[in-house]
Formats: sequence, structure tokens, C-alpha cells
Amino acid sequence: MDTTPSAGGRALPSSGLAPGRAARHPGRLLRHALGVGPFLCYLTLFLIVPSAAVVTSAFQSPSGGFTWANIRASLSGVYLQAYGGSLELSAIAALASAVLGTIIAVALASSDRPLLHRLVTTGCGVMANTGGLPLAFAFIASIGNFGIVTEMLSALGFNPYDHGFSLYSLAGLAIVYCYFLIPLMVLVMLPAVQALRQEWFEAAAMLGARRRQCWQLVGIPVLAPAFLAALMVLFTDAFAAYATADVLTQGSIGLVPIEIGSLIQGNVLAGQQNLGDALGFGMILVVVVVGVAYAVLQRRAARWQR
Amino acid sequence: MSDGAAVLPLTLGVAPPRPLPAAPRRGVRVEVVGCHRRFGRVVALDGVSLTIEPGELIALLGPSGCGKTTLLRALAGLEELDQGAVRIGGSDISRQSPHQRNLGMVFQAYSLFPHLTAISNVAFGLRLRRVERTARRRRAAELLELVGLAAQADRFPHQMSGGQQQRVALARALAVEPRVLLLDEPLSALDAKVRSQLRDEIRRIQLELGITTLYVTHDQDEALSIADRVGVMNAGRLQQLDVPMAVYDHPVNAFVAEFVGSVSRLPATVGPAATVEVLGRRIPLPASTPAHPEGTPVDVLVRPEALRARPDPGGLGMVTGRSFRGAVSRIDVVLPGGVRAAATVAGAEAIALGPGVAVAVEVVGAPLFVTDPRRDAG
Ligand SMILES: Nc1ncnc2c1ncn2[C@@H]1O[C@H](COP(=O)(O)OP(=O)(O)OP(=O)(O)O)[C@@H](O)[C@H]1O
Ligand SMILES: [Mg+2]
Repeated sequence: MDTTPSAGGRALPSSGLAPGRAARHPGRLLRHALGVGPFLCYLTLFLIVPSAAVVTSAFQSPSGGFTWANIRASLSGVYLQAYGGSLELSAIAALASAVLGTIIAVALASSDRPLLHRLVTTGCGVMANTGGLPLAFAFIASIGNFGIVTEMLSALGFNPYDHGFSLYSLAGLAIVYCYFLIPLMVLVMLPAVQALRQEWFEAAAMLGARRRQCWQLVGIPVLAPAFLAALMVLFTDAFAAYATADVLTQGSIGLVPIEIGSLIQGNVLAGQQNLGDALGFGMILVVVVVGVAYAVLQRRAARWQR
Repeated sequence: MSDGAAVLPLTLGVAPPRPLPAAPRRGVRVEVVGCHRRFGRVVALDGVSLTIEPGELIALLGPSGCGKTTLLRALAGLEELDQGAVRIGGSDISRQSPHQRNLGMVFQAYSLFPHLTAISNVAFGLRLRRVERTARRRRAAELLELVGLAAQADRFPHQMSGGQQQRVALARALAVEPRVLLLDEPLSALDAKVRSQLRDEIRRIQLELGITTLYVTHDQDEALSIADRVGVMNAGRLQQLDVPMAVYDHPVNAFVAEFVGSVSRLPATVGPAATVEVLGRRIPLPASTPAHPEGTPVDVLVRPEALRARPDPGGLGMVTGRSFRGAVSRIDVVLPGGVRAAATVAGAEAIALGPGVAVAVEVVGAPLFVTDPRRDAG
């Protein structure tokens, strides 16, 4: 999102004019508008207009009048459970992936094998973009009811399905999500981890810090801003994921995107579209709340960067 | 850590000024014995031994890659030794990890914790030692005062200049009352003016605290001006360790002679009766010279002070450069065969010695060294 449209803006270097005069210079203003323009268009077309449509529809009765009924319905029964399921799944998958991904990034950054580096980053690039049907089937084939790994474990006398595990549960889904969230985390965190300087750890050690304290007092606080930002990306990614969950759960677990999907695709009963949009509105709200919480945390964690 | 009052004597500026101590009060002796370290096929340390006396500042000087950093890091415990021992205050610390050694270290650059303010950086080691918050803030503030940065206490590292950051790094290292201070080219990222100022300040503080110090640098001016003794390293070996004047005046070998201060390398021939013929004159061989048969071609190493250049239309040399340095100036000369030499002349004489002027050059002082000839290198 931040690359294509704004590139035009960066291509225009600032002229040598004094800033005070330049701001009032009409040609200059026009050029600024040209730079930001495409981005604003993009934002309007693909974010603001659809969101506005969703929000409007969420408050509309089938006859077109204003109503709270959709919102009320979207916060009750299976739909309320779907929110619970979605939040739980995204939070668990995002947090677990964020922690594991960071650990992998740290391990990768501390090894100086260029080949391993390229292999892992390329692999992560592929895995982070795997989703939907292929991913779901891969997991069914490995740890599904009769997957290869399941069969092998049963042969060893430990069938995970006899011990409460199921691929088609929230926990199973969380594992599947980790498959693409962990590599995403690795890719997002790697630059931040590579920016950690060895001198910081050595200086801390010289001042009396054990290894654990070096991380606790230096490594983790320094990584915190990048970690929080990445965590938020992971959460929204998991929260909005649809195709994989749809294949795997077949309606057995309620998740908001799946409920929306079935409402929109389902038999065209009056008001279903509006109920779906009410759920969509709820998703937008969740993302906004998470975004605000992130901004607040970030202000604290990144205080030293400004 | 004792009670807050009995810490370093930082009250110098406030209380009635105490005279600077002539003898160090609290330094410990550092002994490095037979240290070897290789990295694959590179021998970084090849049997280095040295003793730093209590309260002494030794500057370690040498070309890039000669093993200075490796030695310093081995002392710090950040690098392991293949062989050898490190003793501090008489006890062997070779097996201790860095956090147990209580040594202060200042790195080349940018080692401050980026997420902490200057004062929190300085207080870091005290925090690890569970010094109570107000006490450690007070002590950190004292140390910032000592390095002249009291006003910058609440700045983050990226809001400070390189010189200020290094001052904070010094204060941070000193805050925990380390037994030894280790500095690895602490000034090399700074510009010349800040560098000489901070260098003098490091020395002042070091003397004030009487802390045993090892100072790695590749800048000979820095080494000669602040050290009690200078150690010159080459290819993993300590070549010479002596007071600055002795290293300059009596280098133990040609490497040290050429590395510390400037020398001219002049072709010469061994003459009869312990003499050597150089630039058409016969002079006595330095006492240190191994015996050579008469007629052997050799190189003679001489300091600029031991060479005289005067304008002479029939002279064999030609001035190629001149740099005024106050009372004396330095003249660079090229001699037949492309031999380059440098001589110091009095300021007034230098006026007549512009580039292109033909000069006669003669050796007027004692040469440092006589070695086998080497024509290829500069
Ligand atoms: N971790 C390492 N791995 C491999 N080789 C190393 C390592 N550390 C140092 N060396 C090698 O050991 C030799 C000595 O290195 P060292 O850093 O001690 O030199 P130095 O005298 O500090 O040089 P400089 O003035 O450039 O800092 C060099 O040849 C260097 O390449
Ligand atoms: Mg070095």
C-alpha cells in the first residue's frame, strides 16, 4: 500500500526555495497534490467507500430505514460466539507466532551463514503467502484425522485425536494460522533484530548483566516497538483470514469472517446482507480498537525513538 | 558497592580542591601472560605478555589487524584465549565470564543503550547491582558532571553528538567502580578537535581516579600524549613496551621506529670501524647494530630531527612539500633513486625551502637503526 502510489511523491525533489515562500507557491502545492493524490484515490476507492457502504448498510432495515436490529442481532447467539472465537483464535495465533517468529529471527540474525539466510528468508516469503485451500489440504494430509503424521503417531501408540486434539478445532486452526504467521513475523522482525548491536549486549555484560538480563533490560525493550507493530499486523491478518478457516472448520466453529461469508452467499433472505454488514462493521471496530491500543502502547515503547 | 558516600572521589570540584594524587590510590595490577589466540589461519595474538602497574595507563598502539582489540577483549572476557592467563590484582580471572569481572569498557562508537536516557545509561550497572533508585540517580548525575554532561542527563543517545555519547559511555563504565578501565579506540569516530579535547579529559579523569587503564588506539599522537607507557604491537606480538620517550628515541626494532613518529629510510653502505656511509658522509653506527661486513648495503633509519636540509643549487635533493608547524617546520625531500626523506628545519629557514628548491641533505644526528635494505615499500 505504501509503495506504489506514493512513489510519485518521492520522485519530486524539493526545490531550493525558502520554505516560507514555497508553501504558498501554487506550483509547489500542485506538485504536492500530485504526489499524494494517487494514494488518496486508492484509499478512497478501496478503503473508505467500501467501509462507508458496510457501515451504512449495517444500520439499514431491508426496507431502507434506520435500525439497530442488525447490530443487536450481530451481538447475540452464534454471532457473539463467533466474535469470541475470532478474537481468541487471532490473539493466540498472533501472540504465539510473534514470539516464535522473533526467536527464529534472532537465531537467524546471530548465525553468519549467508546461504542459510537466503534459504530461510525465501522460504518464509513463500510460506507467509500460502493460505486458503492448498494450506488447508496440506494440513489435512499431515495432521488431519487420517493424516500421515497422525498415522505415524498412532503407530507409535499416541494418536493425538485420542488426547483431545483436533485439526478442526480452535487449537488446530491456530496451528494452521501459525504456519503463515510465523514466517511473516520472521520477515517483519528480521530487520529490527539485525539492527541490534553486539556492543549493547557486550556493554551490558561488562556492567554485570547475565545473558538473561541482557535480553531483559536491553534486547527486549529495544525490539518492543517493532514487535508491537508486527503483532498488530499478525493479529489483523489472522482476524480477517477466511478461506483456510472455511475449508477446515466446515462451519463447526464460529468465526466472524465465516459467518459473514455464509450470510452473504446464503439464500437471499431479507436482511441477511445487512446482518453481514453489521458483523463487518464489528470487525472494523475491532481493528480500530486494536489500532488505538497499539498506538498507545507504541507511544510508550518507542518513546526513545523520537 | 559500599554506602553512597564512600564511592569514587567525585567531589573534587565542590569540596576544597584536593591536589591530584601523585601516586595512584586504588588501582590494581593487571597481568597478561603468554596469550595466544587464532582465528582459523589468522594468528591474532602470538604470545603476548604484559603487566600494567596499579593506576597506570598503557596505550596499545599498532597497525590495523595486529591484535589490539583481541587482547583488550580477552582481558574483558569477551574473547576466549587459546592459551595464556589474565590476572587482576593477583588472581586469575581467565575462567570468569565478562559479567563477573567488574571491568569498565568503552567501545569505539554507538554502544549506548538506545532506549535509555544518558543518566539511565550511566545508572545501568548500578541498577544491576540493586543500588536503590535515588542513590543510583544521584551517583549517575555525579558521573555525568564528571564528564561535563550534567545538562544532557535526560537526552536519548540519538539526541547527542558522537563526542557526548562517548563521554556518557565513559561515565557509564566508571559508574560501577570497575577495577580496570578498558578503552578500544574510544575517539576514533570523532573529529580531530573533539578528539584531542576528550583525550586530555580521559587522562585527567583516569589520574583523578587512579584507575588502571588499557587504552587501544592506532593514533600515535594519542598514545604518546596520554600514556604512562606505550605498547607497540605488530602481527600479534608486543614489540616494545616503554615510556613514550623511550619508544620514540630508542625503538627496539625497525618496525617500531617506523610506526611511531616519522622516519626516513636512507640507503647506506657499511664502512670500516663501526661506521656507515650515508648521503656521502661517514657516521658512527648506532650501538644496537649487529655486525655487518664492510661494504654491505644497508638502510639507515633517521628521525626528521637528525636530518638537515639547506638550499644548495648543486644539492642532490629536491623539496616536494613543506608544512609549517610553529617554531619548526617539516620539509619533505626526494633524493636520487626516488628515496623520500623528511627533515625538520627552524621556522625562518623554512621560508627559503619551497617546493622545487634544490637542497643538500645531511645526517647530523644519530640514526635510530641500521637494517637490511628494503627498496620496494615507501
Ligand atoms: N571474530 C573473529 N573472527 C575471525 N577473525 C578475527 C576475529 N576477530 C579478529 N580477527 C582477526 O584477528 C586479527 C586481529 O584482529 P583485531 O581486531 O584484534 O585487530 P586490531 O589490532 O584491533 O585492528 P584494528 O586497528 O583494525 O581495530 C585480524 O586479522 C582479524 O581479522
Ligand atoms: Mg580493533
